[in-house]
Amino acid sequence: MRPVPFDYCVARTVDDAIERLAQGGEEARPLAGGQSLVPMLAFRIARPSVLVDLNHIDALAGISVTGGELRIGAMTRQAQALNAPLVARHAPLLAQALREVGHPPTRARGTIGGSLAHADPAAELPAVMVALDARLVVRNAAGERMVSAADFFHDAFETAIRPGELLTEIRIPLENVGGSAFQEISHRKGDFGIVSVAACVTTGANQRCTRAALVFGGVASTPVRCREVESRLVGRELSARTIAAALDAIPGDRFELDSRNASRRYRLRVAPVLARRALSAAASGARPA
Amino acid sequence: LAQVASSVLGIPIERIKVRHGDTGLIPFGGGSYASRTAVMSGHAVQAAAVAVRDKAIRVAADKLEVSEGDLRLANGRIELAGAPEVNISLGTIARMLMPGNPELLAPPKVANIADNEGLAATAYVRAVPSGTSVFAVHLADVAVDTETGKITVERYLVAADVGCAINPRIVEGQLVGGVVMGLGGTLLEELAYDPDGQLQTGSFADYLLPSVHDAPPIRAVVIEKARSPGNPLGVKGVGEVGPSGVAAAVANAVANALGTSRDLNVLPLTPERVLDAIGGGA
Repeated sequence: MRPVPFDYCVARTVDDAIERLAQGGEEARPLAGGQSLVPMLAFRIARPSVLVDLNHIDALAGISVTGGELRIGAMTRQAQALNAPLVARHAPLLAQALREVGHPPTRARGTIGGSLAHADPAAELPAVMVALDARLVVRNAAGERMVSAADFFHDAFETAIRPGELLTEIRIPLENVGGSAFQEISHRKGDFGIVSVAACVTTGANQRCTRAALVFGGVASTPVRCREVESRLVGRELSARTIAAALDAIPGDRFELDSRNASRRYRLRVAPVLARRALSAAASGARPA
Repeated sequence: LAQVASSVLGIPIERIKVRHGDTGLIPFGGGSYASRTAVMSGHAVQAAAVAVRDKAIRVAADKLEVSEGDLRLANGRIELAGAPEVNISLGTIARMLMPGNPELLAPPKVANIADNEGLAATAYVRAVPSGTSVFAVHLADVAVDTETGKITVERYLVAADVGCAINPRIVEGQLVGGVVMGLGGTLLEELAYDPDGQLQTGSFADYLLPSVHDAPPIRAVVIEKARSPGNPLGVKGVGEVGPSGVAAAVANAVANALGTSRDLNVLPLTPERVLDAIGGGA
């Protein structure tokens, strides 16, 4: 189908983009990589008044380590992040998850920030950012504010970003690097996960777990972090038995998605399987070689 | 089809044009479906090409004043057997047969060419009720994740006796493509309706087609042992033999892996359906 008619403009700077978004009002949408938005336009699910193209703002793309954080510009392409040595070193979980995000052609256009701002319940990156305790930088005409990933996702396709605001950067703390793993089951390679799970653990003296994060995607309208599972892992050695026992605390009551694609019952059944695999892989990655 | 005409007429395949799908040209074409193209159109093209060849030989025999039996078609020319320097090109013959051509007004004795079509011929063939079925074997090697129900087809082999492969690479490609199509129907594609009869998988976001990422290594073995008795080319239709065996082969492999075929009788074999068949869940 053809999209509903809309205006289009190219923003040259972040301030320019924010101004144009503010002018456009509630129905203005930024255009990042377009891998979700453009099909939604074609289906007429999205009917923006104006698209503000961010693809010519160099300042929005790039990866650096500054102030004890890994900083990823919102317009950084997924392919670029997947292949970045800084990501491999400081946030391997992100690279592991990006391998499951689409295909090389979609990753060449799709951006990190675009995926997060789109907030598809089945997307991989929201769960990753929650697991990494990332902070998201949101800018508006008045200035910047920080939103933790845990507070960023409000509902399916709804985030903390308000009209006239733009997600500009993702900041990931460096101290959470340990072992990590990403697991997902999908119908086809590159599809959104039916269930996906991000796991990362750090271990200290005596192999005991000092931090654990386990976050599901694709089971509810927003990522589901399993705090109770995590607290059962911290302070313990991450044996198969410890992990299996902790998984009893997966909050099944927070699993809401029930669709033709996969029933809630199926999601509940495979969630512990994927979580066990992810935590086991993360635990073996956390052990010093 | 160009290859069939080329092999009869001895004209390079690059110089043959195949025009598809114009019912203004051929009212009773029927279409390309049901594994019929090589069998039906191939047969018709061959018959028409033979008719063109015979017509050209008749004209050449008149022109050269030799008997038809001493002429043969080679390199796009009608030659006298044993003396190839005595020849006449198909182009020349076509020009001679062109209505209004001066050569025709002072004709060679082409009284035996009844039509006014020029160097052209039309041929129809009738379907043969049997003898075009392909014999094929499908082998699927699958892995089943018994905890998630996810099926991975690791290797696939299809062997088909196609009678005569006009172009072996095309046959192989058609078999491999057919297997991928069959894997789509076996594992992914579903026309699902809600209780009100509304199609729920109406776009390619929901109706999942397989892509190259989902295709396992597929080996196609093309065999030419049992020629079809139903047409002079000995060809059989290979369009459907690729997809049609896949569901049975994959589902049997899954049943073999699980030790039972119980509850494995609805396609596509989604992870959820397979896990339900495995049972043991809450």
